Amino acid sequence: MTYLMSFLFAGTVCLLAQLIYEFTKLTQGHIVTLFVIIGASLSFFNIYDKIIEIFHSGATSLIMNYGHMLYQSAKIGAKTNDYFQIFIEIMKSTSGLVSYAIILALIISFIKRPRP
Amino acid sequence: MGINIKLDNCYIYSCGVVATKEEALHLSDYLDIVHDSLFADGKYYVDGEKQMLIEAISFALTKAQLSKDDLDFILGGDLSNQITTSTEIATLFETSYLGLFSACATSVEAINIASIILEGKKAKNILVYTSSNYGVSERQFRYPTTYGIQKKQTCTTTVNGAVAIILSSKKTKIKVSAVTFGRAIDSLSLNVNDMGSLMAIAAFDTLKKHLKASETNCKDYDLILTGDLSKVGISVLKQMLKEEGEDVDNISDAGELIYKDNEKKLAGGSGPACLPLVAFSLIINKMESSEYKKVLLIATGSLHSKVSVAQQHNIPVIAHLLELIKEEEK
Amino acid sequence: MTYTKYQEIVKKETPKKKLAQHLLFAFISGGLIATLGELFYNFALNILHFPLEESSFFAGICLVSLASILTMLTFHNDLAQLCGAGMFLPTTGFANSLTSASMEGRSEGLIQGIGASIFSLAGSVICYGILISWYFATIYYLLNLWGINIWA
Repeated sequence: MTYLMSFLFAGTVCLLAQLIYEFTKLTQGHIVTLFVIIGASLSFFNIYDKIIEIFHSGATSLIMNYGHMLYQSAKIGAKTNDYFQIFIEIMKSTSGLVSYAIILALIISFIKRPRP
Repeated sequence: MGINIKLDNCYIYSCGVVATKEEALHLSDYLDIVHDSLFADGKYYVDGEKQMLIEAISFALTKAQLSKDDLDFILGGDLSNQITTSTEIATLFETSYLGLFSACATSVEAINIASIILEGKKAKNILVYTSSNYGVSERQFRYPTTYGIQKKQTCTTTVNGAVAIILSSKKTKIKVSAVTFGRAIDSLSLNVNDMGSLMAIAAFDTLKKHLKASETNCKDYDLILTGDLSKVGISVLKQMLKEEGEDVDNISDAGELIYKDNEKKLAGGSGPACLPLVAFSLIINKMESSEYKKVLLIATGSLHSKVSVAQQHNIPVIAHLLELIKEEEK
Repeated sequence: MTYTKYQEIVKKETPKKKLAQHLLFAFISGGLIATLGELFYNFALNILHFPLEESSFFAGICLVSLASILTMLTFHNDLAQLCGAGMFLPTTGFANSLTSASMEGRSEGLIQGIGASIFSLAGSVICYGILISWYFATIYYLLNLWGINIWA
């Protein structure tokens, strides 16, 4: 059942992104950034948590989840009533994924030359 | 005002044409070397481009039975930043070098300028060369080659190849009889995904000026070959000419011909080497066998950069034209 | 030949977009990648017995590894031409942009080539994600400070 819910949610969001790509002049970079901002905004209004509960991996595989994770860790910092904690905490939960992606990209570029 | 110039002293002496398997599908018998991939024998894309260019120039010199020192000028250009590929090849010669940038219209611009120098009897043998490579230009103008982007159906793909032409005042079968220089036109658009339609404006402008100056019509030529207009651009140009009452059956596009039936290449080929690859292999051959006697070559280029489009400046376009005729045996 | 007439001609001669095919493939490929993510998550949770947070990290890095390896083998750009948004929206798109940009910079060396161009495409994702999160966190902080508690 969770598989079906993941499939439907991610498929629908990708369909929406494809519609935006076909009918406007926005490039891929614009659309991805837009969805990260949407993810962070939905997280601010406590909607994204509920989306993850219902749709599981459909919501966590997308780049919108990146915005959600950034906001959640910044919120942990804001809750302590010390403003600097926002800056200290903000990248804590996304550091795993981004570090792994960077390391893997570097290792691959050391091994392989670009091919068309 | 000096746009259209008739010539009497400029002949195509020899050509060297090098490309890869994908371009050779429709041109194979007429290419000097066909490589398996765009890298040729090199490590990076730029090595492949330089190797193909050196091979094309060697073939042109060998066929003309000239050596490096017999050349009076060399003119070259390509799509790399600051045309470094062409300039690095030029350092192998001790001849005066004129580097040109006109994006995909470089080849005809170079031949036109060489023709005027020959007409003024200031030189005897001039080498003109151009090259293009998918990896080099894709990285500069669009995205990295392995990046997963869904390109639109109206985009064109850069051809991989190099062409070198030697022009001289010595009489041969193919003569450059007239040249028309184009003007830079503001296309009023930022659409980098459909450059063919934008360049059709420039091709239309230059062609009309040539026809008016030489008092001819489209049907007086055996073939009118345009450069990088792609499937979309060539149908736009034909429609524009039909509205003006011209007969458009003899107009074709090199970009559409070179990658015909290849779905992966989207709307067709483009690049500075696209028009010369078709013209100086297939078309020259047909002219030597008298199948075509009078041919127009129109090279079109879009003179934008990645930064200028991001800064919301419109794309300027240009088209240069040259007329080739088959000299009868005397 | 006026500019308006030219624009009419361009509109008429431009080929029709393959809209239905693109939308269908975007839907299917986006869904499939999310299903794969769910598969990896359940595998980590139930078979490898990782704790919750690590399982979801495991699912994420499996998708990243898949995308980077497909980029290395040059299959990713052919798949993306077919699938469109289904490949660039999930984390596979992010990993692909990092890997392809750093591969491309190889001819210029380690510092000016690979190091300088690795974030040329994905940089805006990270920048604007951090900016907007900081903005919302500041609002939350101020609301908290003034004792306004709209949501917990």
